[in-house]
Amino acid sequence: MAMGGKQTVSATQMSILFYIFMTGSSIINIPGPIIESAKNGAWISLLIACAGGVILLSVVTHLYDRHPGQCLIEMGRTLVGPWITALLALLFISCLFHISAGIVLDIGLFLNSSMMRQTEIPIMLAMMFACIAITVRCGIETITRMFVLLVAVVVFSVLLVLVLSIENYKLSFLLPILPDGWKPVWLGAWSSFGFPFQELAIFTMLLPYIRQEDHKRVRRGLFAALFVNAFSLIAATLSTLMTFGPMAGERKYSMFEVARLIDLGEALQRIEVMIGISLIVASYMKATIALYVLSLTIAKLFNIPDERLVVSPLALISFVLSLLALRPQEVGWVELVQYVHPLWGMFAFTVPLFTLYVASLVRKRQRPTS
Amino acid sequence: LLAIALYLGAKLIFHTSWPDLYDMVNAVIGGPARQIAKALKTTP
Repeated sequence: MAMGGKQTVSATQMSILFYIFMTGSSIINIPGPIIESAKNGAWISLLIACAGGVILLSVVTHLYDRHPGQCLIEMGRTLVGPWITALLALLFISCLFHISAGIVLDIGLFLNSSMMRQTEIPIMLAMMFACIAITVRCGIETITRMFVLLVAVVVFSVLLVLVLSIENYKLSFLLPILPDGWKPVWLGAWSSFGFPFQELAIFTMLLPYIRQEDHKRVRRGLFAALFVNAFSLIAATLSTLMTFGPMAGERKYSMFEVARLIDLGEALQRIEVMIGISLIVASYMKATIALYVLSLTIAKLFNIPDERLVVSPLALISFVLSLLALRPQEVGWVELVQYVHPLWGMFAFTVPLFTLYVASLVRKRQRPTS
Repeated sequence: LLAIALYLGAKLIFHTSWPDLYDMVNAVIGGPARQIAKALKTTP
């Protein structure tokens, strides 16, 4: 409910928004690359990455508890001063541009490779960005209310596919768990820590929107959402492994491929379209949250009173960036997401978060003596 | 912001070699990122 002009959401709504952001496109995109890296140990990689996510979320909630009404930029100004904040914000913004552009590009690539082969990718990307920009302009209250309904569609579709695929599962495909030792598992953990767990840092920009009376309840909700997210990703990964076995790593949109194999007495088949819809909806939701946070960060950094003013230009920049990411280059798109993105996220999200955390602890120690 | 959009748009349309976000990121952390991936990859 809007209070004094500022939009607010409840702790439960924020937790659902968090789950959407973390699970969004990753439940459909994650299993393939992680299995390719870690083979049968992919689920262990996800557990390790989730442990990293728990540490990051602890830092996020610690900072939120200490500075409840402040976003990352405001906390930075209080704790480390405006110049270091500007430097950290630039890194943060660079990765947010990449996330916004990347998610929408993934939708375009998926549609182009599986459903609409004749349609030019830029047309799909332009339409998606227009849709996302309009949603972002509606504000966090509208976004949250709408997304709660949409996430139900995604969760239902994925659950349906996981359950209906039971007859295709072969438990023996899960063994051996570590065919090539632990190193591939760490590579999988590194990739999945980068996408999606490290990205949870962006919620430092959204937590100030929680209603004042819900401040104390949000911690439990966020951790619950993180664990449900890890469980969802592991379930999707195990399903892919049990369905395709050694070939699982070669499936790019693995849940889509798992759904393709469902054939129950000729009455229930070709339900992969539900996963297709889920991928588009989930990616749209995640990209909306990313663009919203991007506009918020830029507005706070440059003291722009209304973040809606910058939404359209930011969507335009993200659109062009997504097209630029498609060019043939030294590091291809898949390699960029799998290997460069985790390190990028480390500088853009983890370093700023821990800088503020350390500064917050130092301030806490200094306060009683001063 | 519009200037950045125009710059990127010009780069895209005219296929210039002007640096964009991805070029800069690749130049700065592309090497170390690939080193990490290489170190963790196994060749059975």
